[in-house]
Amino acid sequence: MSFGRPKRQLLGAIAMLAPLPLPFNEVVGWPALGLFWLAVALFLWRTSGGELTPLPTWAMNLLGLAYLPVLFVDFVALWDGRLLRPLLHLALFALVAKLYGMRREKDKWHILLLAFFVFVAAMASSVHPTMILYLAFFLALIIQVLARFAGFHVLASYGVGEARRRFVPLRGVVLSSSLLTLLLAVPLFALLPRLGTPYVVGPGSGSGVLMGGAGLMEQVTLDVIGRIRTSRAVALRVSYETPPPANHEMRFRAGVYSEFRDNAWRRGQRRSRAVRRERDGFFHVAVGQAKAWMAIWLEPLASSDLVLPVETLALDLVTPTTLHLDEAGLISLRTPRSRSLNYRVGMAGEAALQLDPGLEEQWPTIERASGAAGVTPAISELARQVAGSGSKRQQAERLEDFLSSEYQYTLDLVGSQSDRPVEDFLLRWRRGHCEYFASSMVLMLRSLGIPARFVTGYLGGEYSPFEGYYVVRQSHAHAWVEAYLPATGWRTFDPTPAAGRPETRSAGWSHLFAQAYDYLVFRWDRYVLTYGFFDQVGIARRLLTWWSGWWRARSSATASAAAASESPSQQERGAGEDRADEPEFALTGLQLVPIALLIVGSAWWIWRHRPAFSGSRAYRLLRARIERHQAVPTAPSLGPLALAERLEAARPAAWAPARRVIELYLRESFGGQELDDDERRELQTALRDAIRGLRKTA
Amino acid sequence: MRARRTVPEGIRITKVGLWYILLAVLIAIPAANTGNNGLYMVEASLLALLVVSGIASRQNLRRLEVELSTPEEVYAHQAFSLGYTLRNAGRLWGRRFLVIAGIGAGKPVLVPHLPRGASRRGALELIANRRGWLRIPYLHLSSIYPLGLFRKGMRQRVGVELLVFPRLLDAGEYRVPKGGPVGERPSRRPGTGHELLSLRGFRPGDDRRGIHWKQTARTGDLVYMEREAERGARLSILFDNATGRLTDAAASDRFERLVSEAATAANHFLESGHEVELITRGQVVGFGSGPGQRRRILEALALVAPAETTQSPLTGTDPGTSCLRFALPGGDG
Repeated sequence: MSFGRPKRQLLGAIAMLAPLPLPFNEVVGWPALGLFWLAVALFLWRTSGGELTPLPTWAMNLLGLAYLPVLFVDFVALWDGRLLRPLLHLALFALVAKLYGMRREKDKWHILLLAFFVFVAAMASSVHPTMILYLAFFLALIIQVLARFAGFHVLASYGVGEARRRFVPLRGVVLSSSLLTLLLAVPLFALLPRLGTPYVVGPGSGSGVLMGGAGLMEQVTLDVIGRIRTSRAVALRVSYETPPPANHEMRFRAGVYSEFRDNAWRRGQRRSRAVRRERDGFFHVAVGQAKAWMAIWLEPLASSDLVLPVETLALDLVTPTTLHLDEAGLISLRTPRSRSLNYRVGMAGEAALQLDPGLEEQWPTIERASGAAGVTPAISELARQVAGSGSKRQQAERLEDFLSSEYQYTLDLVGSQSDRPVEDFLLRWRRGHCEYFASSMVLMLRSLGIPARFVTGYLGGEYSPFEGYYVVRQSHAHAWVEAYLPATGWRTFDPTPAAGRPETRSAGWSHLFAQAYDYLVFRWDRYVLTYGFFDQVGIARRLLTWWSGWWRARSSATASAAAASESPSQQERGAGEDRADEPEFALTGLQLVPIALLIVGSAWWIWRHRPAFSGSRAYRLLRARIERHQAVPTAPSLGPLALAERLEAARPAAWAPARRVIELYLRESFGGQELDDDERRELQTALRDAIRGLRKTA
Repeated sequence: MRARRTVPEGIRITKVGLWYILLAVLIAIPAANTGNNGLYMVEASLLALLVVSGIASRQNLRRLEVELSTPEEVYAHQAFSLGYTLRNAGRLWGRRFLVIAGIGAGKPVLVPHLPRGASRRGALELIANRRGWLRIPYLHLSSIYPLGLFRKGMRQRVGVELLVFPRLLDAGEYRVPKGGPVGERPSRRPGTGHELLSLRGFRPGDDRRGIHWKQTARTGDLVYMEREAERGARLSILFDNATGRLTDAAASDRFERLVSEAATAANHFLESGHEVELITRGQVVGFGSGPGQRRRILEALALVAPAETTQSPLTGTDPGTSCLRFALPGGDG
């Protein structure tokens, strides 16, 4: 094998890089990869020391047999339902075996193919944004390998030895080609046709983590929110499409709990009904007219529930046709999501927690919110003292004020292990986090006969200057209270002191890097990992809108210019006609532009790369015409000169130009002389004249 | 001779390129089937690399200038060197793995690397398959740069015309006949004629074929047989090309062989110091000697073509001069 050493080094390098993301994607374990790297490193070390003697064929066969038990264990004992793992183990083993056994030129292509297979598997199973770095590095390496191999091939063909290969620098070529390829791959990635929704391999979104969000579990203990709030992971991103309602506090409901048992809040059994998309394209979940709209990108939160602002009236989602509304007013999808979800929410000016009156009667939501579980005599006594007399609303407000002013907020989980944590919080410790405040108020309200429920979700967010949206993190998780007041229905109370409430704020410099990273991850998830058919349709629709707008502006400009020369009635009619034709024209134009570009581009390419009009082609054409016109009998054995002779007698008008065609054909094909441009033109003219001559005589 | 204009010759896919495209198609199927954007990224990168490779390949063959230096004499079926100077007139990139080839038979030449603004000199070994005018309208430049997926070709217009002399036959192929009574006027000075001038001792540098072995054996010393130069000897070469139209390849081959024999004879006698003339149907190259005459006769023979048959005999300009007559069997010679 020529240039054996540099070829082995390049292949070893590519084998080292190819499987790098596999352990991160949990496709191949670190021990397996470690063994593989060890073997490749040993191979590279031995190669750097000099020419490596390849393994003999019998050793390769023995290795193949030795791997069979491993394959068996992989498929039977360690089988986890994924075919990719044993296949990749096999590919990595084959890669090592091939590296050590490489002796023929074609072995290097086998190794490259195996490395490429591992690379494709790694790419297909990756979700993290760093996969783009992996792609870039692998691309640069594969360009280096292909360029070097091409060079070795050429140099070896011309007898140039290994000593002179360094005189062909390729570093700049590799760098510039890699950069150009990546730049060009971006529009190609966007334009390549998608047939369906994207399928993301791996656990969830780009972060690779399926998060348990605030209150998205069936059961919430009193320390859950405190734990969640220590996390900076993004739960959702919020962008206002229209100006938000005045004093909008960004309070998002995620879970509603009615039963307090064993010091934990539970959802309990709830009934739900289907909500279908209505004619206006929206899902209406409460009665009222939307005053503002916001867009939400919800991260995968291990739940089928949607996180929605308390003011939600209507929803706009692309994919599902049916949503489910439960008796606590929570909206859910049929199944939990494995990737981020985008939806729009139409909001009322204030909290819209009231269900359809029919449903309120049908579903015993109020009774559920009136359970006495967890209410101790001490709690009841304190509630009575604090609430005093007055209306239910006044009593609830007094309790809210009492808790928020007399108690301290802390994330230290004080008293969480006691038997009566709420009572301890109220009477002993007098400090805790939002779950303690909310649980205390719910139980106190219930002791007073006011139906109340425990609500979890998110409050506030961080404004991201990079894209103008709010990032709601797990640290914005919060718990609050909804109480049912006879006059007004369900109403939100938040007894947590202001110091303990998450805020809506603009990110400072300290958070800038976190915001930037979040921006990157969000964009990655949204526009790379989950980019699909509907995004392409959306882009086409936006282009169409832009085209229509441009066309409308152009039409109105033309109409105003012509206004002076037309009567008012003519102007009206003409404008109407323009408008009537405009959408069709715009649509057709937009569809035709890429098609026309494709056709023109293809035609240009074909014209530029058309084969030169050769003597042999002209002779073939001439012969075909002679046969068609039956000018002379043309047996396959009839040579060109004999053909010309026969033509002289049979078709004198065609003879002279045909003779010229044959001369040029013979000169080009057998005389070793290529025709120049003038001769090619002469050839075409002669062929044309000969065909005319054949027709005339016929 | 400098040429700038290049004509693309098209792209030919290599085996590596074929595999590359096959892989791109194979990746496209699961990508479209699953919608996995990781696979779409791989696919987009593969396609983009294909385009970049095409652009780099095209750039690699652009803005190249070729200067050719033609040889003095070119003979049919005999390799000759066509000197070239290849210059990279591009200002940005070096050129790599350029293969230069002429037309017809001949060995291509590799230029592994040509930095920007640099030039390389070399020679192309070419073989002209026939006598007459040899037109080299283009030089072929090709490269599999950068990745070896495609072989891209470009024709560099050079527009060179060379007159290819007839093939000179070597001694094994053809024995030059004696040209009649040669050496009419002995010159009394040493040369390569047929008359004996003297016998003398062998000196270093003498042709060993001139050793007189009998005298050497007799005397015990090497004796050299010095011959007279045949200065003033004259010969007419009568080449009868009145063969009519040659319709089959065998007749054409025989005609070409005859031209080569005439050229070989003319070359031989001119080198022997003869004055030689060439008479063909329609062309006379009068008596002369030396390299100039040799060139004139070879040029005439390079372009000689079959003429219409005629009954009139072909004669030399000087009736007293011995003649060598070349004609196809069945002709008047």
